Amino acid sequence: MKEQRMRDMEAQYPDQWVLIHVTRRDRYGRTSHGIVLGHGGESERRDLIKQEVAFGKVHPQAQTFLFWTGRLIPEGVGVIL
Amino acid sequence: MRGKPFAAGHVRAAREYGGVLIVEAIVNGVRGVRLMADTGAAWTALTPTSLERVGIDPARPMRTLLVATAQSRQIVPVPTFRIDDLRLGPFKAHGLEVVMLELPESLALDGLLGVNFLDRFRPTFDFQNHALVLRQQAM
Repeated sequence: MKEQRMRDMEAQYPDQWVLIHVTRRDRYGRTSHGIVLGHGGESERRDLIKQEVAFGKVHPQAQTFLFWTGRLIPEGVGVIL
Repeated sequence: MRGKPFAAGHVRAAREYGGVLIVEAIVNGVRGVRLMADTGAAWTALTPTSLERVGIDPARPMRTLLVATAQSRQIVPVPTFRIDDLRLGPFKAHGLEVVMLELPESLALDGLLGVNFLDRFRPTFDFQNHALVLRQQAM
């Protein structure tokens, strides 16, 4: 398992949920590098959340990040919250 | 290189329960249109009653827009309308597209002041002083 940059993970896993162990942050505190623990589509999201919780129990000091690599808001959809 | 200066103006707001800011706008010349400043709303929204109040027929929309709202788990189509002008203190926006959105009747609100208005300026939410501060680039 190797450390990767966020942009490389986004390119490697388009339109997927990606769970990573965060290894580096930029000067603004944003995640910049991590190690991929798992990835998958919407149907795998729940399993990835369980994996994140399990990983945190084994590695309580570790920081994880579960993120979607695609558009956060679909093209053509207005948000009114 | 420095950009053009911005002229700032404070728009008095009511700070209601939960800390939200509610401003009084003039829409199509009609005063006292109460809008909640809402950066979570991509479009400015008016209730059906408020649309009628400002002279717009809710039955004659300009187009339909797909939106995600907090009231529904689904993406739903909502009608949009063009208003001639929306004035807030010294600031105004012409030809703003607004969506029709139902709000709970228990809220004494006419709608939401969304990002399609706010991003025409450089807004600052001054919660301590109950004000929405807008800055407009000098011509």
